[in-house]
Amino acid sequence: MILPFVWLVSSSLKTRAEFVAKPPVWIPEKAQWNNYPKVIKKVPFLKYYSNSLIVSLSVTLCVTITSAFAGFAFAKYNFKFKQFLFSFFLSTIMLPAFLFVVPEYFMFSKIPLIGGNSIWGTGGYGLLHSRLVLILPFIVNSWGIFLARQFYIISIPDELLQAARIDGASEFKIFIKLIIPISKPVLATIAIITFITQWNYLFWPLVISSSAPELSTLPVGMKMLAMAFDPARNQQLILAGLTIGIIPPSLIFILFQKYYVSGIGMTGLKE
Amino acid sequence: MKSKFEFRYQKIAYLYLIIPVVFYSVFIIFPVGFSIFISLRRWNMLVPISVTKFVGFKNYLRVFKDPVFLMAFKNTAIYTSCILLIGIPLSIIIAVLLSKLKRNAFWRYILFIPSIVPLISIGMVWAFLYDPTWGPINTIIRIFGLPVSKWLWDTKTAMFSVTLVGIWATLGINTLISYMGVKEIPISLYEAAEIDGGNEVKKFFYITLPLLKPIISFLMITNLINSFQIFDLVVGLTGQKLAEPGGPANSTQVLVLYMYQTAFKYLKMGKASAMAFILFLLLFSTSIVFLKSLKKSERENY
Repeated sequence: MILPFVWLVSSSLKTRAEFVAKPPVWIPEKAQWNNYPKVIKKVPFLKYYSNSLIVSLSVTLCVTITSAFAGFAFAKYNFKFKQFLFSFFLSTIMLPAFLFVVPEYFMFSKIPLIGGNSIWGTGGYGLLHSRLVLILPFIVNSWGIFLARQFYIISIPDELLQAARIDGASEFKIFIKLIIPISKPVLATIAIITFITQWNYLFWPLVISSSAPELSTLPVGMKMLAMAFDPARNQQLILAGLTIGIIPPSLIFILFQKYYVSGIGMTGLKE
Repeated sequence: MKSKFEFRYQKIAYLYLIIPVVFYSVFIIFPVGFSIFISLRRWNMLVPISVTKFVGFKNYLRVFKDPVFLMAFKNTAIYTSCILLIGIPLSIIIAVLLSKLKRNAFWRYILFIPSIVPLISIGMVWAFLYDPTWGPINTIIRIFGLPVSKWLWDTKTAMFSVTLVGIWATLGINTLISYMGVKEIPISLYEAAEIDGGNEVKKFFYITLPLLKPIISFLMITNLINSFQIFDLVVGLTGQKLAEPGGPANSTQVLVLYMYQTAFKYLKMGKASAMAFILFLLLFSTSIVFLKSLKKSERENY
């Protein structure tokens, strides 16, 4: 499983001659560390990094917060339309992303009074050149709401809420001061999985970057590598670029492996 | 009658749900309606919608008559069935073997790496590995003196090469989920089987496999949904050398990629929206049929 990655890293440190040598050179004689600065100079990787980081962090923050609130409402409160809303939310998990690209692209281009648009949403490019276009379609996630709801149902007894209410705490205060601290593990799980998924997401950023290249995220940037370097001549540089791109998700996974795996378990086993 | 007491926190519940409700109205309900509207029109996104022509169901018919769409459908079907029929059984076998190892945390981690890096990077690395002239795969094949292949650069083997990487890339996460399932099976069952003289193979078929049924159903359905939407991997594998992804000669064209190209390369928004609906209905009905039959087979076994 790991061999392609070992090959990736070792080849990214090769010279051009070593790369195509026959018989093949598996480990470079002298590691060519300057392959990396060469890539960063030619391709705006730092820009891709900051785009990816800003987008993924914002999405993660929003998803975690909305999941916590909505999950709690579904788990602990009774209200009209509860069943209807919950089944509606749940059914959106089934809706694939490709259904939304065309209408959402159009929507973002027509937002009135932004990006040179008139009050009728015509004449300009709307939000298409703002990072918001990469963030807004992802700020709520049914899966996260569902996961949070499961957690609140299982691990927070109603008596705990009643006790806090008798002490005179307001609902909002109970949620912030009492519930959020208890639910750290599940919120961490939602956050980690959302971050990695968003970091790796290609489809929508690719659509957006075709008209707004300055919004390219890292996966889009990886695709750009093949355009910046002739793949028949500078393979080692492309591979160095790929290595730079896979470091962040790998690091996050190593650091927070526990939460990631438990999240996979929660979605996998509670089905 | 439900007491007032039960609904006393109604307001705060609505407050907590306001963002998701607004979000789903803007980003789910409106786009779906709008999609249906433009799927009945001929539109290239360059002119205002008001001047576009209403064409009825012509876009839908055009999709079905499109040979590239049919090619993409065939390729996606092959890819999906290979993941379900080869990838998942393989991951279950590996999970069972892993559970026999004492110190397996390291191996589980190694297996997992492909699931956490961008799929496009996996595609691009494998495109290099597959290179017919200097790629390590052919180099190794040459060492053994076996006939080499052109892999992604031959229309006959291209989709096979993509499928191989797909199986490799999904193996880790599938194994991990199966492994969790295997760990849930009580050891006492195996001990009882040992007393009755059951061997490893029998234990696998009569204890492990039946008890894993819910996990297998879950894997089947999630893998079906994911493989049906394969996109990143094909872009990474075949989008290099300045070529258009899906090549050579559409031999690796897949459904979501073709929909993407129809919309944003050929600017046929009406046709692309029609295609999106056809794909959605295909995916939805297959999932439902799948779920029903899996539920049925589960019931029959208990």
